[in-house]
Amino acid sequence: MSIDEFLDVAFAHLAGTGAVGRRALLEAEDHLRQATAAATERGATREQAEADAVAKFGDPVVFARRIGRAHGTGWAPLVTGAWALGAIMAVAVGLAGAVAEILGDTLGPVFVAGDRYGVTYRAWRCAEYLRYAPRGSSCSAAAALHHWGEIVEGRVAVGVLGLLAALLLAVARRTTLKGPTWHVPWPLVATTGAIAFGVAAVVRGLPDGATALLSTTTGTGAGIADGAIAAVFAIGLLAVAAARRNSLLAALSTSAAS
Amino acid sequence: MDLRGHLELLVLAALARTGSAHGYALIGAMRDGSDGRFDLPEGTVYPALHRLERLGLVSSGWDESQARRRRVYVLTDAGHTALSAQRAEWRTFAAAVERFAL
Repeated sequence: MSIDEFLDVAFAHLAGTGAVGRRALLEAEDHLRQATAAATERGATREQAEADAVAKFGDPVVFARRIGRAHGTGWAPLVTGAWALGAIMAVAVGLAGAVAEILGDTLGPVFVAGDRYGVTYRAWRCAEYLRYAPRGSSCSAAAALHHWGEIVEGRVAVGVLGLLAALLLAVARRTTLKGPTWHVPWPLVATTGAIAFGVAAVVRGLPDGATALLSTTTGTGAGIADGAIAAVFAIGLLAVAAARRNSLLAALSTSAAS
Repeated sequence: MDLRGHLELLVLAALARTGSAHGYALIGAMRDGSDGRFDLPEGTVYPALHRLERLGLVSSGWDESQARRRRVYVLTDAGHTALSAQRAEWRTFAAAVERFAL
């Protein structure tokens, strides 16, 4: 690795660290160029001298992480990480609500919000549902229209809150929570999110999917929508975690070393 | 030699020896002053210096006197005090190891 390649990688991982990151990058460049000059004076070729200097300096990702930690307070990235993951999860709930709405519009409200097979309605309860949803052609249809709000609209509302939380985090990072102290630990967020969404996809999607295939479709739409969206988010976050696995491993090795 | 947990003591001690120094010179002083035993991954020393500065044990400023400006570090009074405390702690530990394990 050349000095420029080292600096490029370190710079990418110092993003958001502001003045301390810029200073660390200048120090690293100065150090590497001094080491290279000393080696070339001893007879090494420039390429070999640069490669040796960089190897002696160590991994640029680890260097950048250590600089970030040197100026961090430790718990602050956990706050921003939890904030980011919470926003992502809320947005996923909102998208699941939107998918459930599309499924309900296409296949009927009973598919999404209907009570499971075997649920019976007392006369007063049935009358209550029909009073709430006069469009319902039966007790079960009226019940589905009654549940629609909490199952579909409630999810969409959570999604809107998630978008607001994400927007607030982005604004906060540019104003009050600037610098390395408050960086969002994306590798950790992606890994944790991928695991959580993977579990959610199995827990929410599989039982209702199996019920829809083997038994009845009534009331399975919400679970299927949840499972599908959770699976998409799990795959997406897994891809992010895989792309940033070097950062996560570097962060873990930095933690172990310090 | 595994220096985990001792890096800050060594950096403080090296700064006490050199007076003011930039990172490259400090690393050289640590290596030469230990007959090559403290030949650290150099990228670990700068974060240690940044951490010590944040703790108020060293201070730093740009040296503009050279063709290329360099960040120069110096021990603060708090750094001298911390170094004395860490040296005493290390002597106590080394004496106990000497009696117990050697």
